[in-house]
Amino acid sequence: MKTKTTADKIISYSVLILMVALILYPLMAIFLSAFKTMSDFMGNPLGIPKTFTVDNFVYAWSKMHFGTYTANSVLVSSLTVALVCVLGAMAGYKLSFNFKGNKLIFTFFLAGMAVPVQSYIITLFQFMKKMKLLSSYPGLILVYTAINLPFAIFIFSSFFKTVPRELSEAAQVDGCSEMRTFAQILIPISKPTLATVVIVTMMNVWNDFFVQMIINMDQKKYTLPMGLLKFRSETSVNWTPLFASIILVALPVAIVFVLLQKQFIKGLTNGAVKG
Amino acid sequence: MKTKTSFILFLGPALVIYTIFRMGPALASLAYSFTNWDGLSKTYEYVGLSNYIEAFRDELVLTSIKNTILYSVIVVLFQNGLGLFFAVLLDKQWIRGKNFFRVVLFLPAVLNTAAICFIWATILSPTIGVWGNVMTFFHLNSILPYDLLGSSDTALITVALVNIWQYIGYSMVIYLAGLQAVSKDYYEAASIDGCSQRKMFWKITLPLIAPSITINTILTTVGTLKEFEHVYSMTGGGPGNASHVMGTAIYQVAFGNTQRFGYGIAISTLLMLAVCIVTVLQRKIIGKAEMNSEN
Repeated sequence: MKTKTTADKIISYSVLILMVALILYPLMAIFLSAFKTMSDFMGNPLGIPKTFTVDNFVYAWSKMHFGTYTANSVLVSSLTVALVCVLGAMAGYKLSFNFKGNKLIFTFFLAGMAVPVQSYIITLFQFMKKMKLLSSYPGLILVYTAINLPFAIFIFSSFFKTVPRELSEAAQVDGCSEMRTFAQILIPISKPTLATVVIVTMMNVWNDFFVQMIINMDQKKYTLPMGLLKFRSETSVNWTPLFASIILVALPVAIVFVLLQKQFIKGLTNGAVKG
Repeated sequence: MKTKTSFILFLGPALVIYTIFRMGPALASLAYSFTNWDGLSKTYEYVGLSNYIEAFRDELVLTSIKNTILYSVIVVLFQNGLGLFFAVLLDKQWIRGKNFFRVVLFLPAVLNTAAICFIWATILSPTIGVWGNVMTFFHLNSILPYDLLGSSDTALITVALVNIWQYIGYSMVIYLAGLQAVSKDYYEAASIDGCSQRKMFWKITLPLIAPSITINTILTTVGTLKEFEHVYSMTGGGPGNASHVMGTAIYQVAFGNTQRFGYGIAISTLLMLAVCIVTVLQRKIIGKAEMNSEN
């Protein structure tokens, strides 16, 4: 540890800087190109734009309906996150107690994490068609909720196991109902776990397109990644507006990540370590 | 009575949604895999194991199984290797700007996969990409095809590299968490005993971060076995079937022009079995290795 030489330092920093360049260069190149005109980009795909234009963003936002996609993404992911948090916390809370059948129900939920979505999406598609839930917001939200519930239940129940029982018992002796104890005492102290569930679920739903490719055929209800796929398959040469729409899809998450990086990294690795 | 209502109130909604929209369809899928159902007609016949037998004779399926294994091995080895490398590097006390490096390396993991794939497809594009210049600069033209994503020899590996690029930071952060839990006393004691840096890494660091290795290996293996998004957005399985993995092959069979749902479900059942078997095996094998290293 103590015998670090100058050579060590130079090599280490060079490797790190090379890696940073390898990550930031592609992102920056696309970011800058989104502000170029088409002819500027074709003549100069690498460099800094000669004239900055926001036309590409205007085009993507209104002509390619990215405004609608953004609204859909916000709607679907926030409602899913709310549902997963509420239902996941409630189920996780109950499962943190020892009762008959507790292990069985818990295993039933956990089993879902080993089953890939691909293996049941076709049957799910058929079922949703029968229930007239295809290409609908409730359908999307329910499917995403079902996908994200096992993880939420898993980490909520491990958290509630660490909370002393005396806390909720005392409240109930004071005449507080179980539901009120849960909502007003237990939920507020579970904030770090809640944050993890919010981040993991939000990311999963915001970034998904596989599930939607199957169960959402209505372009008016597409979320951002689906809009991006549609744009890309429709126009193969309209590069600069495509870059603008890539930015519209990626930038919100990137900004939230940079602002809340500590919680993000903790949330996602919590998810990994416990999931 | 009161406890019963409370159970239904707290557990009921989650159980109902999860059963209807996840476990129910998953179990029903198993039954459908023994039929010739096309997903549209109301009737279908039981065909026994013939879907499964056909799968092992189907060129597309065999290619996709081979590709899935190759993809998985490449990503697991390099994403973990590089993730561990950067974690060790950024765990060193004398490195400055640790937080900056961590945030930049982790950034691609939170970005949308479709967006990332289109960015790389643009850079590697033979018409507008800048990759051509890089190849000429390093005189790679004789070794590598000009269109990396469009050549059957390189398409799958290129997609795997983008996958690695996106998730190195994720593996790194999990390793960092493991490294930070290792007490510095061990290293001091070892260096007093005259232990070399390399020996310390193999004899102290690696055994002590074994749990992180387990988690990372299982995560990347399961993730890559289920791979769909990178391949679909960068090559669509092409050229020909050269870069199809099981995830995209299932989509192709069930939702492409053939619309054979029963067959698609049979292939996806194979995938599910593979995921379950690999997870259990890895837990066992790595668990044993962890036990041995503790002795």
